[in-house]
Parts: sequence; C-alpha cells; structure tokens
Amino acid sequence: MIIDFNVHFGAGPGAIERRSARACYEMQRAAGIDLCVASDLATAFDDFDFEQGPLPPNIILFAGLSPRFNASSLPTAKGVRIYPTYQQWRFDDAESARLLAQCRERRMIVQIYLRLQDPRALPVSVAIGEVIKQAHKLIQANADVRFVISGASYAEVRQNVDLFGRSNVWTDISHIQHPINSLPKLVELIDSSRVLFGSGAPVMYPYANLYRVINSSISPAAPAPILWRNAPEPLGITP
Amino acid sequence: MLADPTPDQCRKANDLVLRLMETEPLAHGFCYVSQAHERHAVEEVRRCIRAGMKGIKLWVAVKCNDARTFPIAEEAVSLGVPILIHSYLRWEEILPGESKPTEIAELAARYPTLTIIMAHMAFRWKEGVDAVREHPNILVDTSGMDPELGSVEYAVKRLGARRVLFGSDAPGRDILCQIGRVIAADISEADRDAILHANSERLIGLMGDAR
Repeated sequence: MIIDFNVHFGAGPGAIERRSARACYEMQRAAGIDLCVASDLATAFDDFDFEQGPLPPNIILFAGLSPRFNASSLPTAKGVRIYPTYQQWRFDDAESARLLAQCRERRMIVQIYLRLQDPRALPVSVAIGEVIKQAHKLIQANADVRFVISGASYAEVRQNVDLFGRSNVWTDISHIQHPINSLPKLVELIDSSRVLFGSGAPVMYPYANLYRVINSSISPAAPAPILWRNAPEPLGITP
Repeated sequence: MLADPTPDQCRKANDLVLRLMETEPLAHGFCYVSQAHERHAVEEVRRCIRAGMKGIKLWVAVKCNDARTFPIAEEAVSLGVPILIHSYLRWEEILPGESKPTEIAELAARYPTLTIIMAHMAFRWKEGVDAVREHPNILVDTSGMDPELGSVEYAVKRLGARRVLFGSDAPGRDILCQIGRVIAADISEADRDAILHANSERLIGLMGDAR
C-alpha cells in the first residue's frame, strides 16, 4: 500500500495539457501508487467549479481553494488545499477564520503549499519565508486542526523545526530534493511519524520520489510509515 | 564554489581530485579550469589529462563563446577529451560568465569535432535541448532540476538517447530522486541503459577498461 499525499489533476496555471482525474489516477497506478490524495488545480487558480461527479477509485479528494472561495460550495472532501505563496491569503481575516471553522467542524485537513510548480508556470507572489511565518501563527492558533505542509525544502524544515515538528503538522517530501541524502537528514530533524510520501505529480515523475524512499539509507522501519502508515491518521481513514 | 577562481585555486582543486582518483578506482576526474587564465588553463589541462583525468570542466568565470575559451577547446580536441560546460537558465538574471545554450551551440559549431556536455539541460530543459539540437557534438546531462515529468523523454526524443547522460548534481541534490527520474521515464530499456551508464562509459573510454 502506498499513499501519495501530493497529486493534482485538471488544468492549472501554465498547464500544457489538462489531465483528467482518471488519467492522473492511471499514471499513479503505473508508478505503483495505490491511493492518491488529489485535487483539481483549476478550482484554486482558474475559479472552476468543483466537479461533483464520481472520481476514479482510490482518489481521495481535497478541495483546491482560491482566497475567493465560497464556503457554502465546498465539496465533500477530506481536506482543503491552499497556495499562499502564489495567491494572497490573509490568515488573520474573517474568511480564513470561516475556513478554519469549517475544517474544524468537518474534520478536514488544511494542506498548505509552499511550492508547487516552478516560476515558468506559476510566479511567486509572496516570499516563502513570509508564508512560513504566517502559517506558523495560523497553525499555533489552531492546534485542534490538522495541517499538512507541502512543497517545503529541507533547508526550510531545518530552519523551522518548531513548526514542522508540531503534533498537528505533517510534512510531505515532494520538494525535499536538496541536498544529497535529504530523506535521512529530514527524519533526523522531525520524527518519521510526521513525514508523508508525496510525489508532486504531475509536475514531477510519480516514481522518482518513490524510488528515493525505497532506496534511502533510513531505518528499515521508516519507509512503511512514510509510504502509507502515517497518512490514515490525518485522513481519518482505516488503511 | 568560486565564480572566478585563481590559477592556484584551480590547481589545488584538481590536485584533490587526482588524490581521490588514486584511492577510488571508480572516480574519474574532470579538470577544472577557468578561461580567464588562458595559458595556465591549457597547461593545467595537459597536466591533469596526463595524470588520468577524463575531461575538462568549465564553470562560470568566462562565457564559453569568448575567444579565451578557444585554446582550451583546441587542446581538448587535440587530447580527445570532452568539455563539460555549466549552463543554467535560472529565473533570476544569469551570472555574467554563465553560458547560455545558444552560446554553447556557437562553440560547438566552431569546433565540430569537440565533444561538449551541456550540464543540467540548461535547467529550462525544453529551451536548452532545442537550442543544441542541431549540434550532434553536444550532449546534455539530466542533473540540476527537480525530477520534472517528461524531461528525460523530451531529451531522448529531440536528441536521441546517445546524447543524454545521467547526472545527479550531488552533493547539492539528492541522487536518488535523480536516478528515479531516469528509471521512471517512459523510454526503452536500451535508452535507459545508455543514459545511466553506456554513454558515459563510451565517452570517457571505460568500455572494457577498468580505468
């Protein structure tokens, strides 16, 4: 069983082609990934409506939100995704408070993306350091909400261990690409129970990060939690 | 890493690599020189290749289409060794001495018998690969970027697998993600073998040769 916490479908900013949820799911299956936590990028960036139709099996839907989201139209989802590096989110305003209240009430995860695509597709509008600072305040103030941080680099985790090590925070490995042996280094900083497998597909090859987890020189007990055992708890599912 | 090293710094760096090659039979060195040093650079290339190094590395002191590169290129042709040239079309302004793929293409056109490796596929891999496509004496390496979907297939389709080399950019990047990218690519097993080892073995003369 492998659960991928970082997959997108649909057409987003700068996307060359629209990938359907089905195409995305099949690509992940071909890479040996069983369950995908996925969202439609276009609902966050292009204000597309949420698709209410049936999804392929083994896709766990998250709702990609823009700062203009309408709380009343949120689909039934296990979590929400926000992209504060690329869109101006104000974590201290009434809209954010409403979002957090919804997530608390519906037990939805808040997945915060620090990085998603490179600047050729998606220009950064808020410096990542500033986003981390604001996210830290938000997460501290909402200890009863579960957060996943995606797109962090190893250096950012190292500089913010007090954030990434919190008991209501999980970190996905998709963008932890530097330096050599980055995964063993990461699990020295934060407990492997807080680390989730994320492929970053379809921006990245789904198998590249999987190959890294399988072959890294981490403790023999660490890959299973990262690849699948850690995810059910924040997702609230039975593996 | 120094953008503009002195001759002494280059020599010391090369001495370190030569010492590593003595103890690690799988280490094959490339001689690091700066075109800014002209005569010293050519002499350093001769010293290092005589001592067993397999190629030349140019980083960012001087652009590769600058006339100061030409004596080094001619020495490389004469010795039959490749030159690896850093190229990275970053999103910020590139460094003054950093070579663009089009400038590497100029050098390749001037010396058609010189083998050039354009490092990192120039980061913006479509632009990089397209810029060097018409120059069969330019190879590219896969290092230097996140394992972006389609990057390996694009290089193979546009250049042919024989012109694509595996590169990790270690220790800056995680080697395993970079190997995973080539393993994940939708290419034939023969092409994958070529990228992961056969092309490099051929390039630095390792076919059937321990060193």
